[in-house]
Amino acid sequence: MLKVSRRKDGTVAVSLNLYEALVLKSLPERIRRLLTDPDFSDRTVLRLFPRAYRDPAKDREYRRLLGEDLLRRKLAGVEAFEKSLRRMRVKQLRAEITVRAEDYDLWLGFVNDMRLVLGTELEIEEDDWSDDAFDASHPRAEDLALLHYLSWLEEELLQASGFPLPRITPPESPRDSGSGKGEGPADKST
Amino acid sequence: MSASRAAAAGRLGAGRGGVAGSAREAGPPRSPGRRREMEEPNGTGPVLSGGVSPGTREKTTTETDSLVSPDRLWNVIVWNDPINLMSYVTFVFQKLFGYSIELATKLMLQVHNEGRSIVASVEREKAEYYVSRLHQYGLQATLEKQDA
Repeated sequence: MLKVSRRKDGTVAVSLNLYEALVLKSLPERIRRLLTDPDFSDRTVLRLFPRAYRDPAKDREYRRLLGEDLLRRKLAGVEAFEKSLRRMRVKQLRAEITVRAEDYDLWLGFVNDMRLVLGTELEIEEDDWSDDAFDASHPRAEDLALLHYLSWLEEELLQASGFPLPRITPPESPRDSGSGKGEGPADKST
Repeated sequence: MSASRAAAAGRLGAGRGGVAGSAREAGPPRSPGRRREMEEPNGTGPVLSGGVSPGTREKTTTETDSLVSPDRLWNVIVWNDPINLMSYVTFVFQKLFGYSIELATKLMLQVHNEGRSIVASVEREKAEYYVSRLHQYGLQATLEKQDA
């Protein structure tokens, strides 16, 4: 079971099953491949390097000025993630990854970049992709499952960010005929 | 944007989002590395169009900003995308701009429901800086001259 907590010294502890950790270990290579000599006609690469201007000439100039910086930052995220996984402590079937305070943003950014890569490759274009029951017949069901798992990891990381998170009230769904207990922080007064 | 776990049961309706009123809001965020993240080109905060106060904890709108004539202001626009989590986007708005949870949530919901939101109106150089930081965070952001 995944558990993320902030320690008193500011580091963030990610505690998980050893096999989950091994799944995470496979991720950096997927992004590094895209970032090495990036092909800006590839839509997944473009998702990591979005347009800043509608005007193509201005956008080229922006990319020329700030593109290197963005690439360096993305690679720094890959490295911070890899490094923390190399240092993870394993005890029987539990693994504990320590994210240094100064690496928290890079780490979170890496997890989010990985989600963007998966989501783009899966051609997710509607907001409601996570609403329905998991589709095991999806041609890339493993990547879809991985994306869901990383959404969970990201939510847990955000809980440990020290920032308040938004309280979102889900609309009443006709599928939920129950009492709605255990719906999270839904505000009953609205 | 993808709904967070709390809202995973269904799509959000317009205006259904509440904001946190918990005790966690009290006091400054205890985020590590915050100081490094808050690096600003010249230490001044963004101005929201429409006279909305950014409600920042660490920075306030300075004279420098109010002296900028409106025709030199550029809007920083964040666009909806289906993959980024609502909670993540709200976190980014708080961390990068120093916005309160209430304002960050409001802007996030505007992105989600209307497809885009102007999250800051600043000088061009600063707008470019914010856009590049938003790109670092993986948000789809553009800048355009006000009233263009």
